[in-house]
Amino acid sequence: MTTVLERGRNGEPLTSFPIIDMHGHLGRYAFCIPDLSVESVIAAMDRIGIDHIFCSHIRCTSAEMARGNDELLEAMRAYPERILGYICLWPGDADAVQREVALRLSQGFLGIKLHNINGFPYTDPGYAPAFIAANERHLPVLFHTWGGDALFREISTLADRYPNAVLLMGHAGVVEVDRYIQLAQMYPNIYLDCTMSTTPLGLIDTLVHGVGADRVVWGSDTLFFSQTPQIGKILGAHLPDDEKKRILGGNAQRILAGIRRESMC
Amino acid sequence: MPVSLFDVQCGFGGATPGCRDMLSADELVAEMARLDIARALVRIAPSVLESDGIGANARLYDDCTRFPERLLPCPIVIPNGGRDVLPEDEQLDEHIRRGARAVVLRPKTDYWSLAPWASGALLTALAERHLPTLCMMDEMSLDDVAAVAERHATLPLIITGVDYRQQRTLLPLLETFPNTYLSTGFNYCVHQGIEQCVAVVGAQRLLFGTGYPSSDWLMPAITYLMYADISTEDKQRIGMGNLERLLAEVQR
Repeated sequence: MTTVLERGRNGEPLTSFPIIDMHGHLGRYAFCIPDLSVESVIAAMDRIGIDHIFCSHIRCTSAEMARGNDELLEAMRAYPERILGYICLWPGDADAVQREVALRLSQGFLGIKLHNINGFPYTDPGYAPAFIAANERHLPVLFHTWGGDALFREISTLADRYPNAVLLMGHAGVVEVDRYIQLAQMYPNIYLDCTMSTTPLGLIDTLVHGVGADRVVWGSDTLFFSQTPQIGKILGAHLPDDEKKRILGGNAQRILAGIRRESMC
Repeated sequence: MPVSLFDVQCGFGGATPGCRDMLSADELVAEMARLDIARALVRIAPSVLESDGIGANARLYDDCTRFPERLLPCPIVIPNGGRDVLPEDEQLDEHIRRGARAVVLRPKTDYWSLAPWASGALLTALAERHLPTLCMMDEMSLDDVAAVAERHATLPLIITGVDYRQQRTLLPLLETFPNTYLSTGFNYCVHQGIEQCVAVVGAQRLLFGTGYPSSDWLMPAITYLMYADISTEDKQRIGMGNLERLLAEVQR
């Protein structure tokens, strides 16, 4: 039987098992991305065999939460089976955050993406309505992370406070891999997302050895990066195929299945 | 149709601060076999702690001779401005005699200037031999590459370690200087990057590279190429054909 490694080596679509990209973005950023179109993302997904991609808008790094979420909604409606939405938020006003979360959940968004480039800690009170909703509905919350004492403290606090929210630590292991693993070992609602460009040798194997293949999810960070190299990170890991398949899609499927959609409207 | 791979941006044997282990040539060759990478142009890498370029070259040749079918040495060359290394022509002839068909520049690590009065003799000697020359982005800027490319039009310059954010500068550089080539290895991973480069300057200007082991990027580099939205023929050119052509054009 052909392994997923062999299929990737030959550039063949990986169609025999589900693949869900848990870390995507749409929209323009400061540096040149040669093709910003949603269609180019869908085309790459088709070439690889990716079923769904969870996206936030690149405006998640700014105060323009409504504009970003509106533009993402257009893409979700254009490709309803393919693009799943993370709500992006600006924590300036907790009431506004609450209204934005309620609106976007009613529109079919299925998770939340937060970035701390805005200068706010993830424990900022402005985000509290989003975490309450995530906890009630078992939503995934994807955090941009890059190690650091404050970051680990914040995620630990949130994991304690909102045990039903699924907390995805983006770029896990890019630095301080042991601390990421220790935190995920402490909290069953923490998952490690392994998207990054600078990748320490053997990182995927290390993460799986530390927390098990059921707690690692795959993401690409497209449009910042192409999905095409990021998929290779998992395909090339020294892991059995069943673990690679769980990381690439099985775990995400379980997270999706756990979302309480009935209470969203 | 299979796509053979010849990695232009690869290495072994270098230490990384804070890391206990170094990748050996044997381990590199085993990984290449596992991922069906036929050959690699190799340096001592990561090179951040490799302060003795001459010693690094000696280690490189020793290990490459054990895997002549797999590993092609890419030694460090240094201008003889300080009269402390072999004169440029002798240096290059010696490397070619030992089997090298490409070299790497490290102006930052080895403390020399790319100004013509400081390194013109070396770059002229390289250009006379058409020796493919790796320009690593942690040693040189794209502006530096452009300046060298303009002064030495017969010197094939292979740009490695390009950041995914550099497309706005990279693309006009490739367009302006036909003697520049892009390694598709780490840290070049921008969405639709290979596709845009192929459309603008042609597949003949791209070379498959990985950036391994500075980053765990062997298989990512493979899938970046293999899932690119370009023809199989272009993948074959990028995968191996272009580099083989450049190596064959070296004047011995």
